[in-house]
Amino acid sequence: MKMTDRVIEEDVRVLLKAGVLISGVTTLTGGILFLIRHGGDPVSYEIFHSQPRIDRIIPEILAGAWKLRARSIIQLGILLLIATPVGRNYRDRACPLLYSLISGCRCKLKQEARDVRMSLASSTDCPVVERVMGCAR
Amino acid sequence: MTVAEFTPIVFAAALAAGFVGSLTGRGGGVIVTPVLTLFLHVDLRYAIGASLVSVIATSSGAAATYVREGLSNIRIGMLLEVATTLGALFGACLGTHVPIRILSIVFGVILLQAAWQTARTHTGLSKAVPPDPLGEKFKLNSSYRTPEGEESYVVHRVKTGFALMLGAGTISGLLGIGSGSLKVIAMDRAMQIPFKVSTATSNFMIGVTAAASASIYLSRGYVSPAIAMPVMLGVLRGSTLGTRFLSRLSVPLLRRVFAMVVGAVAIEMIANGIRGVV
Repeated sequence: MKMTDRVIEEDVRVLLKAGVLISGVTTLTGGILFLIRHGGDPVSYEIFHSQPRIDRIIPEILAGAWKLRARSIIQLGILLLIATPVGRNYRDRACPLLYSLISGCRCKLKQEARDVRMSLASSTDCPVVERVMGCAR
Repeated sequence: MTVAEFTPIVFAAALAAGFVGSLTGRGGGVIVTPVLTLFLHVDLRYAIGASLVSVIATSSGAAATYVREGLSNIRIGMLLEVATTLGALFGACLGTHVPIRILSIVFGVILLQAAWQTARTHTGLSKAVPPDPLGEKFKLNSSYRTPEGEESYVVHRVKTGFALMLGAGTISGLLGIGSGSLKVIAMDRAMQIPFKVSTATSNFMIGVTAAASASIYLSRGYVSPAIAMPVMLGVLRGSTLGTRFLSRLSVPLLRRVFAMVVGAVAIEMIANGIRGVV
């Protein structure tokens, strides 16, 4: 039990670190661009105005970031940050088989998917299966 | 004020918030939000949006470190975050309909309560309540590393803890904070989990809770990139620094510092809410 928990802890740690790093770098990039392009602009946030669609609707944020619009890149980084803890959960709680299938479809994650399938095959050694069974008991 | 002036000030404030936040098991929202509203005169709704982002950043950054140090109890975290996430979704929906004066007062009251709870010293509650059989069933009982070696603990009152987490989640979504202090209280007081484990596990849960409400606030346009960017980057850096100190600090000192900071902020927020200068 202690062993499998340690394995999960290591997975969670790597996922959290990677998510935070990627979103941090994205936001920083957007931030630098924003400061270069809009550094001299006056700002006032005393009166609240809801952000424009381009900064709050996900497809529009992605489209803006694709065009290298500074604020869209920042919002993309924030989206990635929001996804980090959610992704952590999805990966080790939701459904290990689904995870391995989805990641199997994505070339970059193939090796990891193979690892998950292999550990599934060797039954209880898999931390995820162990967890699901542990919860069901 | 121009963007080039505003950004570094917010970054510096967020750096401090992240540092203190990770030391006390808070997401840093408690410090970020008042600094933005009280000193930089940012509207509370912008502050809530930026604070939520900072909360996710602190939690995820710090959680990675705590997990490595074996302080977090992931099983407890995963069980209780079901409750906090449901609460957060409810709170975020509620938050977009409540007038900000009321929000400010609620914010202050929550902080005041947190400060008071934290300042109280531990009484021997652990002897009065028997360990919860649910703790055994869900395999929540565990151990953590101390300077004197591995110390084991058992979990009490799981159902009470779960119910308190629903409330903590609602507050988190409503005010855009991690509500780490409420989570720590639920675990430390009700469930009798050691303070350091409570703090680390709370950090682990805060991310998911805040992500749930952040997605709602983002889609409603509360997250301004110009504010959220320096807040997120500052808090990330600050929380990384803060976690390195946690294992070295004494718990009583941690509690006292925490209570003082939170108490002072609370009074200010309530006063502003009443005077209507939010």
